[in-house]
Amino acid sequence: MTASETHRRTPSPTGAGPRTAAPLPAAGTSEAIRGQVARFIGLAQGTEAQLRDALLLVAERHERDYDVSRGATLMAGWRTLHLDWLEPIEGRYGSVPAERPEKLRAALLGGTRVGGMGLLDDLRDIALLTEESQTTWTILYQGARELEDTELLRVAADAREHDVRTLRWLRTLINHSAPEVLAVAIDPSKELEASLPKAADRVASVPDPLWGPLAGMAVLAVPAVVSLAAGAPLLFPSLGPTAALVAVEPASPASRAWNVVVGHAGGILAGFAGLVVFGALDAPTLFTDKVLDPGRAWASVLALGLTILVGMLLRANHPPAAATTLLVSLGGIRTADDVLHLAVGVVLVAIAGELLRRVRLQRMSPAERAAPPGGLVEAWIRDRRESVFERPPG
Amino acid sequence: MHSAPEPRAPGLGATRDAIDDPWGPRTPHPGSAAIDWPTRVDARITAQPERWVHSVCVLCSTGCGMDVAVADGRLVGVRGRAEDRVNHGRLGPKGLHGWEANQTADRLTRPLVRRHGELVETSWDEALTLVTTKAREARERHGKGAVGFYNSGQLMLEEYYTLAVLAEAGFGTANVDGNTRLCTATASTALIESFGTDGAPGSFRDFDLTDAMFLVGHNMASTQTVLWSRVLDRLDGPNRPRLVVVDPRPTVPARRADVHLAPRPGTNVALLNGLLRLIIERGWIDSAFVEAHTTGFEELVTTVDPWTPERVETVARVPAARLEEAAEILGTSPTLVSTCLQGVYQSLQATAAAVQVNNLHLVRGLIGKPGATVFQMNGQPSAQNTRECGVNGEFIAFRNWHNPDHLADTARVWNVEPSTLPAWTPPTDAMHIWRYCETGQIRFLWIMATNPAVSLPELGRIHRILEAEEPFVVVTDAWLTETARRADVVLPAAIWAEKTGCMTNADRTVHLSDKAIEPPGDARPDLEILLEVAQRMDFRDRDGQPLITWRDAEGAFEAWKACSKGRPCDYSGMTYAKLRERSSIQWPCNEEHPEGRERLYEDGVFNTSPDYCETYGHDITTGGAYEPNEYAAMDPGGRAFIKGAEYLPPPEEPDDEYPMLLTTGRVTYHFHTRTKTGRVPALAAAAPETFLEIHPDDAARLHIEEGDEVEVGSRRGSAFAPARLTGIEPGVVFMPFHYGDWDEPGRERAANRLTMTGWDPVSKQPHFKYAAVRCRPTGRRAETNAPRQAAEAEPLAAPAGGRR
Repeated sequence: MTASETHRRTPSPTGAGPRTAAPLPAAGTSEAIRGQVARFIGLAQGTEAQLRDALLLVAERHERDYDVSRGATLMAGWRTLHLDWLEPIEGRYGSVPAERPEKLRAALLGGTRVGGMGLLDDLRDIALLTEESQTTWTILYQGARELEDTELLRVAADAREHDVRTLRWLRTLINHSAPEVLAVAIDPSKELEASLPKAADRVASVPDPLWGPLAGMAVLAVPAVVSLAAGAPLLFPSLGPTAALVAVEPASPASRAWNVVVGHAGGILAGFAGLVVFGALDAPTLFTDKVLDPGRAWASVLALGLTILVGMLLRANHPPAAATTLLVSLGGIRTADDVLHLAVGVVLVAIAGELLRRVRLQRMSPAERAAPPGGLVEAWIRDRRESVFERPPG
Repeated sequence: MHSAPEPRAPGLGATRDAIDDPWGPRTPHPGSAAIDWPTRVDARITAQPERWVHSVCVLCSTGCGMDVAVADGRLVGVRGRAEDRVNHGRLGPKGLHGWEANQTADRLTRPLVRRHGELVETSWDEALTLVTTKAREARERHGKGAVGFYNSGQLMLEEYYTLAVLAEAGFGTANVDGNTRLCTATASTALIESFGTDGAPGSFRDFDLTDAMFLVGHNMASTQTVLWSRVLDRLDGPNRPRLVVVDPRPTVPARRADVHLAPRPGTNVALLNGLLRLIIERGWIDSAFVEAHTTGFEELVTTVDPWTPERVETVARVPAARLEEAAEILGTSPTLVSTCLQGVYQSLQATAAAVQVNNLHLVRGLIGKPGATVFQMNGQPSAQNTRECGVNGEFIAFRNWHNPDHLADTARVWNVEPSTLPAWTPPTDAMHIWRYCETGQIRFLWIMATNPAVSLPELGRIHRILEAEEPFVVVTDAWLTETARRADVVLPAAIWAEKTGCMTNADRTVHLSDKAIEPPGDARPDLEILLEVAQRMDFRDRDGQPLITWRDAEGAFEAWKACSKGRPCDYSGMTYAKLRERSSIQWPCNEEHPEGRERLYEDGVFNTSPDYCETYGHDITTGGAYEPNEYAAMDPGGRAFIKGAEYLPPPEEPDDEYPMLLTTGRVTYHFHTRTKTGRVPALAAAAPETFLEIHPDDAARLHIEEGDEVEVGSRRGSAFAPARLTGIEPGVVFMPFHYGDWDEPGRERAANRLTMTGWDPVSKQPHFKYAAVRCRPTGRRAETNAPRQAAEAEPLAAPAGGRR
């Protein structure tokens, strides 16, 4: 490994050190402690997965900057390795899914990232995610010491060392490129031409102003086309915000298919629940009667609160669903047929949206791309599992 | 056995035929400290000399001392200097014949500028006015980083030093690198990462004294013929040392080896980790040395642990039994000389692999002793000088860019403000210089004495960059090379024998090469051109005086002595007079070592102290640089670094579309892109055409026969070459990289049309020796029968063959 690491090893396990035969904790620990650890295991898994995808995205965006692309691919492999290490540990403690990593990732790496400026932006964002990973592993490392969990201790130490090495690599790249990017006049058209990935199908690199409108239109076109073909009305006002969100913020957790479907379902239920509570199921509607019935007004207010609550409880926050809520509470959706049509429309948008955001985020099969069969990461994982190390004399 | 010909009195003609026998007759010896390598003076003269002029051969990194013969203002021959410590009189085929290139009719004699798309002759004044106008415009309008310099491994020390001051203190640009990035950058980084600073620890004399040799990716018989003669005199003598060779091709050294390991291209780290694992496991290490003089051993043990012989066999395809045989020789020999060259540097994980060879010597304690050293070899004659002078990505005189004291010291020597020196970043490596040309940041690029239009990877891309409107490209060369043809200004240069200056070889030996003849036409030495540009740019020091004060080569050398004083490459004890008198002197040469120092690190103390080291080191897997505080925390205290390295997968794997691996390299009779050697009749005739080496099994499968023209294609382009069936590893093909199209415009045969834009993360040296390709016969027979190179063909005798 690296020279600095020789000074790091105190009680810490070595990368390929002998497997300890000592019993591992978890079986005997209390459920409360297991739950506490599980929360951070979930965070670590989420952060690792996001960082792996982000590194692969950066590797493809900047494939013509060989050092960036090569290094990012290597380090994405490290992330796959860490996720593999975590599997048996999750088996002992469990894992609580965390939204934080996905939200963090959604705030980063967006926009049009080409050329030197785009590269610096991406390196900064990867650094932020790596910092997040490093603190998460530090928390687990410290916990593992008190728990005397040698396996978790070793994994946390080695994963954190990879974070340190990633940050060192990022800093070196930034040191090299920043002066030439900031202090030399750029010819934008030439830089763009020299920076776009070679393969035309690298949709991850399509600039936002091109991707956003086209993706939004594509998503909404699906219910529109099916509607016209089937002769049933499947287009509703509340599908517009969903299509726009998926197109503009594909990395946001709110854009996930789960959030779309569960969010809108919650909206429908909340809307009807509000109407039931205020007895306004058959009140005049805003749409046909052009009056705002007081029962519908208060039902709308209550229904919105319920929609938000359902979204939070089911980890299915999806703001556009609130439009469905009001569509129901204000009387736009009344019959079972209406509900069925809306549900079909939502499902179609959710499927189309999920496909497009996966393409956009290069997440079709990140694990396979980070660890092709027979490749290096597979070998790393095997090493870790079948460590045969015996320290030689001397 | 032949005795050496009578020294010092060669008659007309040649003392030997170096084309048919590149290494010459044997002078075997048993390899004892009491016996010097016997002399054998090689000479070749074509007319009666009027006088002999002190010089050095410039066609590889060995640096053989020679005298050149002059008659009637022309070169008429050469002879080796018997007293020279490097060659003891010998010269190789390129040395004996290469001088003829100076006098070819197509030398450039007048400056050329591009007008309406054509290069037309002009005056020096007009050409230099254009150059300085464009340079000033780029710098003032677009920033210091809009100017770039791409120099060479074939200029002289005095020229590099002048360029360093001009570019760094004058233009203030960090974009200065040489084509030495393609050949010796890894030698430099490997030495720095392990030992703290650049500089070969040993002496060529260690080949005479050693019990075993380990050639890693180094076809010494072709790249350094005289050094191979030195090795042959041991291999053919009593008390023969054992020889281990790592090469995917059955080269001449491979066929002389006790153990030949032929790994799959790109797997050097796996192979070397396997060797280190065996040596550690068997206890063949010098624990006392490791304890006292190294740091990092524990990590190495952990890193190499998974590399069992069986695992190495799976990844590198080297039989486990072969690996064990090699490990036994390397682990038990009382002394050992290892050398690395392009098979390491131009392959994947270059620095990581080269450092493992250093590690082998560190764990065995075999360094700094007679017969025990490691050579991180150079390719070009003055590659060492580009590194010393800080125009190959290092800071001047092996100073440390990140050390404020070193920066202040340099500013003192140059009498400039430290803030004006581009120390905010390590110097831009060549691959990034070309990248910045591609993205438009560099608008003015000056290429000196090299030919990137043939030598860089992915030539299609390089040609597009050179042919674009920007950058404005200035080329200094002696001939209209493939690069010069694409330039905006071409400046005719005087070359070796037409100017005076020093060159330092791969064992720190400094030679002076005196001017023997006048350059043709208006051609001028690069030094003069640089000095005039400095004057025209009116660069000043902090007292308002001219930045560069010297006017000639000796003045530049004296300035360099002051700059190098106190650093590892200390020249302060040398003078031109002393260099002429002694034939050659190794650095450091100073008050402590007035006659130079043969070996470094004899006391086991390395140059790793934080205030002396050349960099703070890198993660050799990722290229991430350590900060000063991290380095201080490692507290090497004069101990060498042992840095282990994980094996990484290649950037592209062979697949159905591109199922084979291409590796590129050199032939005995040519140097670089044949700019000189292709113009020398005997050398050109010995190796007239490129070729594709392929295993007979692969050839049969692809319906390719000896001499058939083959189209070789990669993801980047294609090239055509006649097939040559040899014992190369199945699945691997080889092409020499020398052949461009200056002599046959439009010929698509350059191997670098296929190679990839990818490089080592530490040394930034490109991966010339790894590319996935496909091969198919075109149905044509080659016009020239390619396989005629004696030094390659005889030992490579095709298994399917019967050709000769």
